[in-house]
Amino acid sequence: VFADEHKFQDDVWGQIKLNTLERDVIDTPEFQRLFRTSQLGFVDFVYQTANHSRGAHSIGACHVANDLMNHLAKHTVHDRTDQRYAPINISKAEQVLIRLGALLHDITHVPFSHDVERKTHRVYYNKKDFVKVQSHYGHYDKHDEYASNPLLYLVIFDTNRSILARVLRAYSEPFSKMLFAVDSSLSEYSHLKNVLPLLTSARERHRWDPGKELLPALLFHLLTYETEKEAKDAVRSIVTDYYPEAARKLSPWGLGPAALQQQLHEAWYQPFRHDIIGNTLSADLIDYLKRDIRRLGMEREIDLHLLNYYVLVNPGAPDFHKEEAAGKDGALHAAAQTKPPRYRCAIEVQDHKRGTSRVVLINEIFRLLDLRHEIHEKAVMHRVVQSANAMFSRALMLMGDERKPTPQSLVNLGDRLHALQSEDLFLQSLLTNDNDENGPAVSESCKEADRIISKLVERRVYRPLVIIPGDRAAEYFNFAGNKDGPETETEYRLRTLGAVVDSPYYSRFLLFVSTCIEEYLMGLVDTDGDVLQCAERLLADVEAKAPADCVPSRVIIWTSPYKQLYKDPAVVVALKKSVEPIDELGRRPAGNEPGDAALLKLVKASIDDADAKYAALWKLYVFVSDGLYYTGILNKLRLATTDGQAKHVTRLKNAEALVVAALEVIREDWSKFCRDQAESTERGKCLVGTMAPERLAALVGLWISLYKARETDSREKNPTLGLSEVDVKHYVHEWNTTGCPVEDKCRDIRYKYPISAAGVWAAAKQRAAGMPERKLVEFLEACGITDPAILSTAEFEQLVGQYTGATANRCDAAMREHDGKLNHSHLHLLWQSALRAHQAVAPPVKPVKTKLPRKDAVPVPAFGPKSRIDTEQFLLTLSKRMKGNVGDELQKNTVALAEIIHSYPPAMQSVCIEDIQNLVTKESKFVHNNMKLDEHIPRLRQAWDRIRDGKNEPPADPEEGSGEDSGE
Amino acid sequence: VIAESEREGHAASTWQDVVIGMQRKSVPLFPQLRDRAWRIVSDWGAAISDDTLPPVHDLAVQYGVRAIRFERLLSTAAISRTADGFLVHLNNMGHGTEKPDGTMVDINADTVWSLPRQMRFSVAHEIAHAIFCTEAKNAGKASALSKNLPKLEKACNQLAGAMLLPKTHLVAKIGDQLFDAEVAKSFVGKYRVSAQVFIHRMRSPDLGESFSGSEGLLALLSRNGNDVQFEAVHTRGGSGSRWKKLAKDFKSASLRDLFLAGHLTDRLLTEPRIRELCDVVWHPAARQIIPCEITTQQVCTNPLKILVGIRVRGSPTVRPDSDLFASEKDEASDGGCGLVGGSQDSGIR
Repeated sequence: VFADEHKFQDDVWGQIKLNTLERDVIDTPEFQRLFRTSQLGFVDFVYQTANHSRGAHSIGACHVANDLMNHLAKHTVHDRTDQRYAPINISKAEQVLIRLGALLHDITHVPFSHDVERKTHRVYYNKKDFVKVQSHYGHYDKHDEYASNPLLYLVIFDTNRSILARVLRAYSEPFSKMLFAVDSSLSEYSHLKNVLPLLTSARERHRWDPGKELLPALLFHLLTYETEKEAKDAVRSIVTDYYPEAARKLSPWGLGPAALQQQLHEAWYQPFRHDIIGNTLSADLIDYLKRDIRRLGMEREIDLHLLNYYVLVNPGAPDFHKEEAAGKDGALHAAAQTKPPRYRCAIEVQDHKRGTSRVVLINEIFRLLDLRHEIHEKAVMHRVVQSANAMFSRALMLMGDERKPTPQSLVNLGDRLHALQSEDLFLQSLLTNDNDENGPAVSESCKEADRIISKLVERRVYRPLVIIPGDRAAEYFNFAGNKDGPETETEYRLRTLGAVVDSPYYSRFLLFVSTCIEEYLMGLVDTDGDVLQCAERLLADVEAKAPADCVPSRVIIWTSPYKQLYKDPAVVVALKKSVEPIDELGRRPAGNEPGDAALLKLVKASIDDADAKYAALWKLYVFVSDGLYYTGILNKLRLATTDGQAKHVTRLKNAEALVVAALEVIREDWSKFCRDQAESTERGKCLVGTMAPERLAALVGLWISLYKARETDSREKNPTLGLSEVDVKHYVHEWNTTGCPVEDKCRDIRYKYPISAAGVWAAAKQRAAGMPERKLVEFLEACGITDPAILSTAEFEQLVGQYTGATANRCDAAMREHDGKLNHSHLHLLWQSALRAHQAVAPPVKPVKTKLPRKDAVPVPAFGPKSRIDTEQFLLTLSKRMKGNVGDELQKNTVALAEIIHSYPPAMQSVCIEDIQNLVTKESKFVHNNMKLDEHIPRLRQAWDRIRDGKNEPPADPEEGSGEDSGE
Repeated sequence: VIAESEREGHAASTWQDVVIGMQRKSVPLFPQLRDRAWRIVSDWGAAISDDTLPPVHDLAVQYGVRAIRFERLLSTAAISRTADGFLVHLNNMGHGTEKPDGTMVDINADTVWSLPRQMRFSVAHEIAHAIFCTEAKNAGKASALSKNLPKLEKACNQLAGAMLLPKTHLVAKIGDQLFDAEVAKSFVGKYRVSAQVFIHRMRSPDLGESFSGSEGLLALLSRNGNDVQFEAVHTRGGSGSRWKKLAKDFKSASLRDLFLAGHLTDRLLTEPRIRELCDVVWHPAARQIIPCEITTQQVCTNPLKILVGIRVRGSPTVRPDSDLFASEKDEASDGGCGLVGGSQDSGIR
């Protein structure tokens, strides 16, 4: 069954022959799912052919793994006297396992997994040490984080849910036979000599049947112990199911029965197996380099001739440590020898026959890594791809934890349609999730998320407002408090900047800034001065302990962790005296060997070159919706179009300056924090914490003063201080009533080729009175908008969608107040505005959680994430908890109700009570509900008064209802 | 006496309590009215053919309920008298009906069936109120209702369930598959009611004698963050089992109270559907195990809601060395791949 007899045709490697185990694995739904998961996520937005699947890549990696093992067998010198080389051969059973590992190395990837997972930032506090901070805009655990993601465990072991697990279990029998057949007394299999007796003992004394368990266990071991650091623990704590209790209680996992796990791991673990699959210059790397380059249409070809020097080495061999051993620490060396040798794969740079170094190989390696950089530069970090990622992440953020799909539902393991869990399905599930009929009403933010996803579906991506490349950022954002070393300064600064911008702590501030920019560009606030004034007022309010937490959907500040692509995975090279990853070689002082210094100099120069490139690769982006690049609905309606474009360019430039000022605020604040707090743990804690409202207010204050400190003139000329590489004039475009000329810059195809709203406008007028369409038209006409053609159908429908709930009430109130005679200045009422809302009423305070005396009382939901509460929402919450007889509920919950009302801003409290009074008046006329106007409302007011006076003790138990029925 | 009965009514927080409460002595007129209302609804239900969805609107029109008005309300739904009958008021804020304030619609087959599930239930509930009002007025006993409001609410809920799921339909179509989650889910889908209403309906008094051959449990679980709650539970038979207690206190119950083997408990929430034979720990103290068939169906994914059906397939057996009790110990000493529950002895970390 392990003969290569099944042919697969691949567009990169030609014919690939696989064995029956591999064929069966590919046939499982768990693997078939990978054919619907793309390798590069949104990259096909830019490179239309780069839509290859992880399935194809996995099969390619399996093929390359086989190739690599052939190279190792061919080039490793089996000379007993030269202990630098591993004196072993990879047995047939190991080959089967390693190929299987390569085939399944991506099995845990979910749709868009690289784009939606929580990335890790490093915040350095000196040259070597750092704290890890998880990115705030990531939404799911990393695909290979086994302490929180149970997918790999379930796929490999859960025979109920996973067919793949059944396949592995079935093949365990022939596989273990093959492994047991290895003659470990031969020196070429000496690395297995301790393993087989242990497995026999596991079978005979511990009721552990290798015929059923061995293959899945070894495979799981192979895929989870990636680095040597991880391999130090024979037993790891992993999560074994999606079920929340499983997540709280991690389970220990080790190879074989519990009693033998330590020994088995010691005897079995060999880094070279992991090296071949995914560490270093590996099957994974080689396949995706070749495949991605081809599918991206790059005219490059990778040269694999360096694989002729791909060998198995023994880094612990005395030859590599002659000096050390002869010197001071003989004992250490002796200890190392008693341990079983750990073999690794390496590129042999030292030419032992000739006694020289193959310098060309160093260049060869860097050329390979350069290609990797090129893929990132051209594809992964392309602004359109990053914009799509940012939009996607923001949509998930807007959906909130309750609405966004669970990690489990992204995969649906065990489901009949598990293999259908593709990217498209993921996107669709985000759209249809809003239809849960028993769930709460669709919130505003969910509607916004829906809007973003439907844009993504049509590749209508946001446009960049600001892009700051790392090389420019590194010069400007010099965080104090880091003990910067001169060589790696750039890396430290960019890593810090990335981590800080992407941290939960500062995102509160940045989200606030984005909200201000969004409302400014939409025209809800007229000038930059007004924006700052509104922001100041919003935060200065003492009552508002928690200022509005808004998540804007049209402005996104976005970045990703700084990466050094030559470090991960690191290519291991074998020199005369050492075996080490190439990036560590660059830090080593030159020895006294001839030629050594030249080699190290070359490595250092190459690393410096790479560093410079990577610095420019990292970028900080601000993306805005295409709608904000044209003058926008509101400005259009206010007839600002006459000089619209010029005015809007000014707005966009001011917005850029606002972004830069915000970044400066963060630099100042973080530097100050680092100066005060040298402790690394404090820094980590701070970044993952929530920013206190007072801090936020302080930062906004600083932001305002920094922005104002710049001369208007210099802001106009150079809004981003030369940091951004975007010219907003390139994107800005105008709208006019005759439609969009084809040469217009607008790329949002729905906006560019619209249908005039004249038709829907006329139809709306025919609707019954009170329908939102008709009310909207009436409102617009009252404001003096008489030409329907000024709007497109899509825009009209957007406005209709907005014309509900609080917005409709606001507009209706204005109509009543001004007796139907409004003007252009009232148009802004059609939009919810955080900044303007404050002008009317005090901002909301987060409601205090009050327990009602009911057994099944539901906690009052926080009115987030926009916190734009009004009585409407208050009543909604209230009515949702009124189960059964409303009058009795009111009677029982009077005090609790009063407490909730008291937790609202003062201006709103009496409005709330009045609203309740109106409703009680109305409903007391209904049948059988026990509503008593003259009883409930006075009691409620009384309770409210008591709380306000600080007399918090509840009044005496209410008397039982008198039994009078107002309805009958 | 009245105050006493009112207080009892307040305490009646579960449907079970109401059923018990019905048997208690109460103001004598109300039970008569309630029986009368039940008879009206069951006669109506028996008369309709079981190949159509129950025409609730017919019953409504019969009692003068002719229109629905959507508006801002404190309650979810309410009913008021008009000159010639009744008007149903539905809350238009966030209950799945985003209709402009004051929208009126006639009650007919289209409007009733196009409402979301929970609103349709509310309409049926209000129709039950109309029946009560009309009958009380006819009998000249209007005050009997106003003095028993809590009980009236519960009775209307039950009647609403009986309208949306008539007895004849249930008996004809479910047969002996009452505790099969798959059947329950398809039923819920076909009759467009929520799973919760379906389970509560199973507990109504008129079904007491039906399905007498079946023994088992049907429950609706929902997940709220890390918490798993029972939203409704119905059990039949199972004397001496722990389910009785579960059905009574389901609001404070946890998953463990289903008394399933550990691995099943863990899988319930992660697998979209399960159908397999299993053992239930019938009476832990007596070490009784009973063979059952478990079926589960996810009815909603976000938030996660699951229907669980457990059908008893035999009588309890005493198994002193049952696998269920031994399994935890075995796994701990054995290690291997059986991870669940086996962590305590391994001595790492």
